Amino acid sequence: MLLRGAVVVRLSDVTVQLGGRRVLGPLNLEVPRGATVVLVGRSGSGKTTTLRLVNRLLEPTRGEVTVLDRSATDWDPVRLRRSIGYVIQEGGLFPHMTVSENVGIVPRLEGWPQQRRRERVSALLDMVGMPAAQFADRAPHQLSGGQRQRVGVARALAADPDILLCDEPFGAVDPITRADLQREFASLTARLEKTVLFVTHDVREALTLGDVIVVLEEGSAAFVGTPEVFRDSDHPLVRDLRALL
Amino acid sequence: MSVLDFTLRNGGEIAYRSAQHLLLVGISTAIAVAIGVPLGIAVTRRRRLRTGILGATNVLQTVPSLALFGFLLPLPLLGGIGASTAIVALVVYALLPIVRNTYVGISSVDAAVRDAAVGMGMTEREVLRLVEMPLAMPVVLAGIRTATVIGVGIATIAAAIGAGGLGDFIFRGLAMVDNGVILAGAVPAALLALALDGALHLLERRVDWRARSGETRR
Repeated sequence: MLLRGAVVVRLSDVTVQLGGRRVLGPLNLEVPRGATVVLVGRSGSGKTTTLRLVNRLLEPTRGEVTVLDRSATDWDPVRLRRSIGYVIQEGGLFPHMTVSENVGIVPRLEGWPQQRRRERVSALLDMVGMPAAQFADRAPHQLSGGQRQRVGVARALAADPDILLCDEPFGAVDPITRADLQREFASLTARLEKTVLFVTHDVREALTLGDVIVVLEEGSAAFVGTPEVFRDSDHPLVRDLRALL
Repeated sequence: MSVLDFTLRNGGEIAYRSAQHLLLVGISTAIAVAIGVPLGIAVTRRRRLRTGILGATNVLQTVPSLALFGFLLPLPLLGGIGASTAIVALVVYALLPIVRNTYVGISSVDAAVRDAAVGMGMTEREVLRLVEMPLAMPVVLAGIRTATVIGVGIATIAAAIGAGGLGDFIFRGLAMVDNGVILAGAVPAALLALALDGALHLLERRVDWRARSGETRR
């Protein structure tokens, strides 16, 4: 174990086959409570597949995925997903909804009363540096890429989930904005004690955000370690990745 | 007889026939929406249905309208002389654009947006109600508009099986070889089509999330 704390997400000998082709596994992975685990690797290495197993957008062919001490297959998929925040590239914001409607969507699905929803939305928008007074009624396309991303993070946090899944959320923003977002995201998730599983192909981002770095190669974990271990590792793949820094 | 003369002398009947015409189109389009939108949604959910349903509506669309009215006449329940038979035929023609546009509208929703919706824990119904339908609405309404305009045209032929409407003047004019009488039916029908087209276009703009947020329209 790399970090103390109960394991919140566990993948045990998980294999995923799609159309007879193995796209993932066998993979073992543990995400301890409060930690940020970053998955790095080239396209097709299984990063996104791993993420989609956790909120059951995909089912493993073999092996077991456990979320909060329950097998993912025992969870009602809708309940499971509402207890997990999901951030994707460009935020995946709904283009026909305003910023506040986007952020308030999960509370709305959960049937929160309007007043409580409104308070939550404005607290969240403040939290991600997008004051509600200024941004609540904007449409997603009236925002910059970085702003959309902030809204995406706020939306994922809306129902106060323990776990956040992030699929290259900062992939489409410029380097300066990206650095800001990373810093703020790291301090936000640390403060809120969120458990984060984060996918990126950016090694620098992985080192900035990760408590644990997992290098995926052809569907298996080729390296698992803290950023310090990553910096010193002789593993050929890690050396290749470090060369990108 | 000139159109003007005819119109002045028969203003009441023209208004009455126009109302009848509007009713034929309105009722049939409403029924077609009630059938076509769910059908279009079903087509996006079940791959196997797609070819069958889209193919069937396509084929029905190719049947000449006069022939379809003829086919329907001898049928029990659906057929016979009068407005109900005409409405059945008009529903058939309205189905294709509505089913097709519903299908196209929903399947052109960005996969990432749908993915976000499911990943956030929306049920299948919630995805449809809160994300897919609102995003597809402008396209669906465009289909309804096409169906309505086509319906106004085809409804003129419904007079052939005794359904009334503005076609009555056209058939009467043809029989009397009187252009004035033909025009008394044709002109209001054209105006009706234009008016409905315009009204539905306005409605389309109101539900268009792209227009509302000032984005360039397709």
